[in-house]
Amino acid sequence: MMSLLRQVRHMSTAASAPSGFLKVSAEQIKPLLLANQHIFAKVHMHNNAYLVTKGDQMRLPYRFKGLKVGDVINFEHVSQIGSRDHVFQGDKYISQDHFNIKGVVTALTAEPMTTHVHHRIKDKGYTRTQRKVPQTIIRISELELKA
Amino acid sequence: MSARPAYQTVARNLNGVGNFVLQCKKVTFRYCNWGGSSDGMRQYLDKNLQKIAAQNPEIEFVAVKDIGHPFIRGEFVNGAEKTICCKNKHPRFINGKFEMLKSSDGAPRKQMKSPVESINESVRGIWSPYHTDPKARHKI
Repeated sequence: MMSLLRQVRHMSTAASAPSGFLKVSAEQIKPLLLANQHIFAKVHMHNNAYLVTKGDQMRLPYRFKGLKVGDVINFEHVSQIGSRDHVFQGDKYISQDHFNIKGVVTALTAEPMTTHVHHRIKDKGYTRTQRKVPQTIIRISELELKA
Repeated sequence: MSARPAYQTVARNLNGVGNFVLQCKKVTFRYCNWGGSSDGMRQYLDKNLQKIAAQNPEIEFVAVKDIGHPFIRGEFVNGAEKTICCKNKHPRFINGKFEMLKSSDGAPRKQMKSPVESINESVRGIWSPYHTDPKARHKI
């Protein structure tokens, strides 16, 4: 029994599955993930990857243009959805038919103002610059794999 | 995965999961009818107060006439207050500060250390050499 469990422990749907992973189809792996309530997703935004679960807060160091507080974001680029033992992985991204991941913009703020000192020849001593980077705060409101 | 203490497993309020509540609940504009430093604030309230009150039904708007310099004060659901002085300021500045208060969550500002903040337990847990497939282990 243990050997059987070990065989199905690591499964992936990627075309180039890592060594030790059993390569299976999406139909085979989705019931295994749906049985587990505790899942994560790897979402991609502006070419950066974020590993999130439901209820997480994302604090991004920039301001989205045209976004207001309370707006709902639909995540489209997702490369992995997984539980403790199994990973559903696309070749680059998973097809949008398989999942539903949404986030709510809860605040548009900024980090506290910080002072930076530059010592350069052209400054003849030093100059001080002040920085206050804008932030976008997003809460993951929905994260589910469609049956 | 070790078990968490009971006080950590109690459900917490996560704004946005299930329902979203705007965190700014009240905005107060103070102005003076006589002083010159309230000139911009008087223009702003004359033109825009009715409009922004109609556009934002979740927020309570109060205009207070009092002696002294003008300010905007925002009150938030978590009990925090943010007050901004608007003395000798243009209506455009006051509008920007109102938008800032409206889109803020009332929490103290902090620098981004990691982009994702989570209170959930780790999905994959801590890696253990005794529970991996022997075929997947690194062979020396």
